[in-house]
Order: sequence, then C-alpha cells, then structure tokens
Amino acid sequence: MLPDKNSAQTAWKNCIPPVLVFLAALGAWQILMSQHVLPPSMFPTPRQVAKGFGEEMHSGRLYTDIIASLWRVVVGFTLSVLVALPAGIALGQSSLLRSAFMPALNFLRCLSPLAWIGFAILWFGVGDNSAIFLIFLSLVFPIALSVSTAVLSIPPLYYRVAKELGLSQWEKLNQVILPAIMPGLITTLRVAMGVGWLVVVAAEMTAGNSGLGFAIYDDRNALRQDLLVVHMIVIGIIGLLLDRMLAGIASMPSVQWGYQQTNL
Amino acid sequence: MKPDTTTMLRLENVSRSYSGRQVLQNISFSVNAGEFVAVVGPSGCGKTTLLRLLGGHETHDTGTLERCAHTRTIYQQGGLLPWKTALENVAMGLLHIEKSNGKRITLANEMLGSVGMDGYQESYPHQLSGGMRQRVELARALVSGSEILLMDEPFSALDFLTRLKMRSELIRLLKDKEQTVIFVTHDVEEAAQLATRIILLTRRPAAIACEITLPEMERPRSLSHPVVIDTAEKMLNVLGMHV
Repeated sequence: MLPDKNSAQTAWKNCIPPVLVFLAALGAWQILMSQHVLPPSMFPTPRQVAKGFGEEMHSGRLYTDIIASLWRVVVGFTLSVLVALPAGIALGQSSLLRSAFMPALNFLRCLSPLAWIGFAILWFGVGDNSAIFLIFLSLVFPIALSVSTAVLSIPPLYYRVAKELGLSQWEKLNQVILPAIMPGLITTLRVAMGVGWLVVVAAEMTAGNSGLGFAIYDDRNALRQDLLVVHMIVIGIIGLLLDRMLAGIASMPSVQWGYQQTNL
Repeated sequence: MKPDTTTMLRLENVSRSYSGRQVLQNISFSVNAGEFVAVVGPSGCGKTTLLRLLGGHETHDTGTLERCAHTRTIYQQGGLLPWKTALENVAMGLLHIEKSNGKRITLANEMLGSVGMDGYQESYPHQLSGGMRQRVELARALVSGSEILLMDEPFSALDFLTRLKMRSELIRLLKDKEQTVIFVTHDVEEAAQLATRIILLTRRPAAIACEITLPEMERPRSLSHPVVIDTAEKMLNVLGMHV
C-alpha cells in the first residue's frame, strides 16, 4: 500500500504549484482592479465574474452551450481521425500516393478553415453541421500529414521482424504499424484537439446559433464583459481537461517506450 | 543443383551492389546442420548485408543462394517490439506455428525461464538491461524451433563481462539442439571462442579471405586457450592487423 500513498502524496505535491499560480493571478487581478490600474469599464472584477458565473449556471445556458460545443468538437475530431488515420498510413506506405497527394494535402493544410465559412453556411446552413465541417477541415489534413510522417519514420528493422515472424498485412498493421506510431499519434491528437477547440469557438461566432463561441459573440454584443470572462475561463478549462484526458492515454504501459525522454 | 540433406545454406558466387557500389563479391560457402559458423570481417565490410541476404530480407544480384529452412534473426540494434512485454515478444515467435494462444503463452513462459528471465514476463524492453533484452530476443528466436539462427553482432552493445556471460549462455541454450548458427561479428576472440568454423571476409567489397575450421572441444573456449589465441592471431594477420 506504500506506493499508493506515495503516488497520492506526489499528486498532491504536483497540484500545489499550479494552484498557487492561480491564486496569485486571482490576487493580482483583484489588486489591479481595486487600485484602478484597470478601470471597471474596461475589465470586470473577480466578484463580477463570479456573479456572472452563478447567473449562467442558474439559467442553465452554460450547460447547453458547453454540450453544444463539446458535441461539435467531438464529432468533428472523430470524423477527421477516422479519415486521416487510414489516409496517413496509406501515404506513409506508398511513395506513389505521396507524390500524387502530398502537394494537394499541403495546399489544403495551409488554408485557414475560416476561409471555408462561406461555403460551410451555404452547404450546411447555420448550426451544428457547419461547425463540424470546419473542425473536420482544420484537423483532417494536419493529422494525415503527421500520421504519414510517423509511418515513414518506423525503423525498417520492425518490418524485417514482421516479415520473419510471418505476419500478414493485417497483422503487420495491427501489431507493428499502429503501435509503432501510437506515441506520435497521441501527441498529434492532443495538438489536434486543441486546434479543434479553438476552431469551434471561431466557427460558432460566425456560423453558429449556440455553443460557447456563440455565447462569446452574444456577450460582446450585450457588452457583458463579466460573461465574456466567464466563457473564456470555461473554454480554457475544458480545453485543459480534454488535453489531460488524451495525455492520460500516453501513460498506458504499451506506449511509455515512446516517451522515455519526454516530460508529459 | 539441390543442396544435400545436411546442408542448410549454400551460396555460390553471390554478389550484391548498392547504387553501382559492390558490397559483396563472389561469396561462396555452405553451412551444414548443427554448425556454428562465425562470419568475421572489418566494420562496414558487408557482414550485415550478407546476413540480410541469408535471411531473405534482401535479394542478391548474381549467384545462387539456397536455404533449406526458415531463419530467425537476432539483431545488433535489438529487434524486440518495444510496445510488447517480454512474454508477448517471445509469444510472437510462435504466432504462425502454434494456433492456441494459451499454448503460445505457456511455451513462451517456459522459454523465458530457460533463458533466465523468470519474473520479467510483464516487463517492457525499455525496462530491461541490454543483456536481458538479448536474452528475450534469443528466447523469441529459439521458441519457434527455427533450424537456422542468424545473429548480427548480438552482443556488441553489451559490456565486456555481460558479453562473456552471454557467450556461455548461448552455447548452453544451443547444447541439446540441432541448431545451425550464422554468427556475424567483428570480434575475433568472440568468433574463436564460439564457432566451429570461421569465415573471414575482406574489406569492402567483401570476398572470402579464408575459412578456418576449429577443433572440436567444449565451447565457449576459454579466452586464454591456445586455440583461441592462435586463431585470433591468424585472423588478425589475414586482415593485415598485426598486434
């Protein structure tokens, strides 16, 4: 039982520095406001934000906005992974496919997803589908590129081992290629989830009628700076939680080999 | 020409080039069942290329190469899959040999025990020392019952004492098996301690400089045994490295 106690103690110790930083930031914010360094017309006080948070919780709007945004990100993210993963593996394995598709992939990767907003509204209307489409577009190309690079960097030694063990194509994919790219893939997915979360806010502000991005747009129009900060904090916290969730996958023993030099 | 029943590998005038640069030049030799053949040559001469040809991982440009059984290779860089535990890695060696997963695990467990790795079944390669990883790799190669074992400088990354220990372990594990071994090394003493026959390669493009058949005796031969000292000296002389 001793190791459990030790790991609990370590977890607590790791929590202390970020909590101290949060409290210090909160204190600094309060001091700046009370000393009128930041005028109340330009920025809300912590108390106003806390009050606004209570108001949003009480009305239930915060929950529905969180659920709407999360739904769009999760669907857009999942669709992009479902398309990009096999595409990236195929690109990584075939020089012919790479020479044919890489220029197009890099071209599309460089286009801001926001440039597609006009088409998104035209094709899908204002709402869920437009935002999902924009998230999909923003993630599918970078993930495919990253997966193809990861497949290309698999040491040839593993393919020789697979051949010697007589693995079929399916077994090679399942037992060699996918596990070999997994550490890199997890990092890619963490970055992609962060980008998806950024894009959903922008998409909802311009092509949405609900969600946290739309709430920010609404707060701005209503000049509710307190709610603006509430929604910004909620977006940041959810982004952090999503990242931690994906980082949790990286602690699985079967992918730890890929993080020996990395501090997660 | 078909190789006779005891010939496991036969090469006749095998050559291999990369981008016009010849690496192997007219290599001819054969290996009989149960032989432990050490292939010795200077670093970068083409020993690993030769081993890849023998394992079927590359093709030769000219000549004939005949192989009478499946091969298993133990790699210099370590060929264990890092995302699998020691037990899973060894069980992989039986993937298309033993259908029952339970039986694969049992056999892999037994083999890990016989290479002295009891208690490390659930360890991942990065959690093991270099010597332990080589033991697991050896277990994976041996568990399949493959008749030809190709070893590509398997102990070169280990410290001297571990290397000596691994040489003894290897001979102990092969003792009751009719295993044919091609052992690539640049260490002349290692070859003289372990092999029943030594094939010495020249610098690139590698050709056979000479073959040395060693007297039958208990292996691994002691480092201070006259046979080891004389054979090592002979090899160094042929390679033009007088000590």
